[in-house]
Amino acid sequence: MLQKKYILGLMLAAATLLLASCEDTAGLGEYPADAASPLTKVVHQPVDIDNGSLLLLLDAAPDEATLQGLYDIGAASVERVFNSVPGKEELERQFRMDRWYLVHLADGLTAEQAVPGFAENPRVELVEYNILFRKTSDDITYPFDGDLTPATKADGVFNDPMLKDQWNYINRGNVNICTTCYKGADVNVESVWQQLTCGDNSIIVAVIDEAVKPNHPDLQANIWYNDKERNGQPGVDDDGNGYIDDITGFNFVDMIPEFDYVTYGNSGHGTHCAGTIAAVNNNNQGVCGIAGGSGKGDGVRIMSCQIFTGDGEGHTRGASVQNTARAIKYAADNGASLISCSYGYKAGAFTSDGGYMNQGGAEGDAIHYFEACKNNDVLDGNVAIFASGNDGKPYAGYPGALYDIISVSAFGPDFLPTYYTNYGPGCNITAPGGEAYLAPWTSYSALVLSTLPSEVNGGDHYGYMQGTSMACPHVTGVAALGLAYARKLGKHFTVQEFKNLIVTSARDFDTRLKGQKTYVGARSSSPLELYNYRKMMGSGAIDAWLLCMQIEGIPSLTAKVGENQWVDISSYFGTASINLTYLGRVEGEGQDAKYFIDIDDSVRNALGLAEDPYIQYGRLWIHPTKIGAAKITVKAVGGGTEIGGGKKIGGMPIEHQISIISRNIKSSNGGWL
Amino acid sequence: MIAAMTLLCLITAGCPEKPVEDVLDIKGEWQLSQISTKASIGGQTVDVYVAFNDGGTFELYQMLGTGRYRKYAGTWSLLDKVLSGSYEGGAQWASSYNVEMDENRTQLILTTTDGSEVQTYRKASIPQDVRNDSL
Repeated sequence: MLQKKYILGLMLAAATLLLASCEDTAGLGEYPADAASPLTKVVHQPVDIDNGSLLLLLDAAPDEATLQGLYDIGAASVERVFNSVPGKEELERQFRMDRWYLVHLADGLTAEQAVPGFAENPRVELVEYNILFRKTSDDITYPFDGDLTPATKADGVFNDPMLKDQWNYINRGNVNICTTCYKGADVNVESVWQQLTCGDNSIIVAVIDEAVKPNHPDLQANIWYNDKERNGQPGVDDDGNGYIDDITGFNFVDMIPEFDYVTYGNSGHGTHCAGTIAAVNNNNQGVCGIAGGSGKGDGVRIMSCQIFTGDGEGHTRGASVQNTARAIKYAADNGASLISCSYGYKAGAFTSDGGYMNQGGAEGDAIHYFEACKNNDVLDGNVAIFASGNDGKPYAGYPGALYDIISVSAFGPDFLPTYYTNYGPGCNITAPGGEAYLAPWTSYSALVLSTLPSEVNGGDHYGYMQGTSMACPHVTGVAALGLAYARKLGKHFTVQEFKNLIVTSARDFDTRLKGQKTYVGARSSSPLELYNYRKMMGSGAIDAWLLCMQIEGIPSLTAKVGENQWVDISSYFGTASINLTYLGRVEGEGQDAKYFIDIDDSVRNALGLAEDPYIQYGRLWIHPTKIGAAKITVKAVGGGTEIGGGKKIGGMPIEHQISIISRNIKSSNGGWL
Repeated sequence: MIAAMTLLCLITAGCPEKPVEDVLDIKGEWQLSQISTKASIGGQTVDVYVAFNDGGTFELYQMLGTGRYRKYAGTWSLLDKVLSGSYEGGAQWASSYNVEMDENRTQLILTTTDGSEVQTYRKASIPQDVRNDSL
């Protein structure tokens, strides 16, 4: 019996690979109508997998006969992937949370051997190989090598002594960081801290990663606590969420409440990412976090969902599909508004949204379940943010590459792409990721400084890392600040609107992409050809101030009656607006292309438009003939030149409603008089 | 010499004050109350405060539609009931304006010199939060 299955398994694996090399036809979220063929039931390829397990999507909760049927074809155990949370049953059904099952295989049976049998079972709708995720960092930490003199006002807003070493927040162009250090190559958060917000302790951010050290001295005050478990009975599921003693999150690697950030093979990756999001600010020690508060208990809260750990021999363990998917659902069910996901598949493992998501894997369902849950006063759902990956490839890795998920690429302190970052289709926005080997390379200060568990960092609480893993929590932190500010203002957005705001709160750095970027040391013979990155770094560099200004509301633009004129739309689409690809009827090609905006007669009439407005050179061209006002919806691609989904890997659809006022007069700087 | 002084006085905003009946005194703080017919265009609210200061400087706070007040500053001059000015940075005003005031100096009417737009302002202090929160 096993012999026959093995042969079938080889045939099916070969067919699966063949299928994976073809373009898929269904769009994202379109599940196959006819799943009768066993081939169409198989999700992913058998590469980098846990060979002792599979995930099955069943047509319904299994009865005894179904279970026996699964045991008969090689299941040693069958368990639900996701637990159910009272009150969320409908949403769980919508995203198939109630039908995903984890099968541990009988001894001696590999996943590839077992797939055919399960695929042929009529109760099985999908069979998913249990691919293991990997972190989007090289996992190397570098010690802090700066000085610890107390911070002065000139160093920044807060008294944290290492803030002056965090160029990623406030970059004053210090050439000691790197000789090409560029003033303003940061997330532009200083003015936000000074004038608008530093965080909000009702906003919870889950870090799906290695464990976050909960008693880190610079994180402890911003750690999320599950009060029912904290004040409950040890060994009891006091809050009834299916997890016992999950006081600050959960260890999904071993499915236990105790975190493991110590075992050899842990790098501190999760704690580092957490520090970027919400290290405690103004506490006179260590580093700052983007949404770490003002020192008055107002930092956003970090929930730790551990999916990676060490194996004791210096390697990473964990990040199976089921544990990662469980971690994401846990974040959704326990109050997180954002998940920061510095992991993914290798770029190129999937080459289209359809290839990754056509049939839907358990983790894909969990991501979309997370975004459909509502955990804050601002949004009608939540937002997932992923790293784009460190393969140096001209496309992002999945899941972040999915067209509707924000994927973050990395720039260095020189405001240029880093050598490792993925770029191009699937990359939506860029943030500081740090970079080694920039001249003079006499310190590590060009990397990203953040918190680390002292247990894996030579006794120090802080250190440097680099990667899109580090860029990702920058965007998460900025998004958290945005949620905090929106909540302060009483603003409300849909998830898609908020994603629009994030992706369009970007500054241009394409104008810097010319010539070569050079390195020293081990990378001295591998310069980057910067032109290759033009229009490939998403919508530009994330900007916290622009996000908050967009949240406040963008003033109407003014146009003069009787002229065809251009109007600057950077207040809506960021200063990188010139680099975006806009949607609409196109006339012309290349940089001279005109993208005509779809408008209806009410807009034409309101402004007496002599011709339809269009976008050219990143500007809105409009020709009103009478005084009036109207709103025009401009659509663009958030990263790349075309929308992803289905057969493609591509950008996110973004749009803004631009308010236009036409007057008989207009000053060149927008002033009223 | 007298002619030169007079000319200098006419072309600068820092001219010593003249009797009310001789010259319009627009100094003070004003809020836009009407644009041709009302303080909105096509249903979008336009909120504008302007302070014409001694010394020929001005501050303008405007909110068009939504968002935060934007602050502009620059210089103004009034010559023969025609108000003109420029912004810091060198941009000229969109137009020069013919100026009218009511007897009580509570209403200021600025009409573009080509007559295409009429702006009516009422005397009003600029709220402190508008000043403080503007960009």
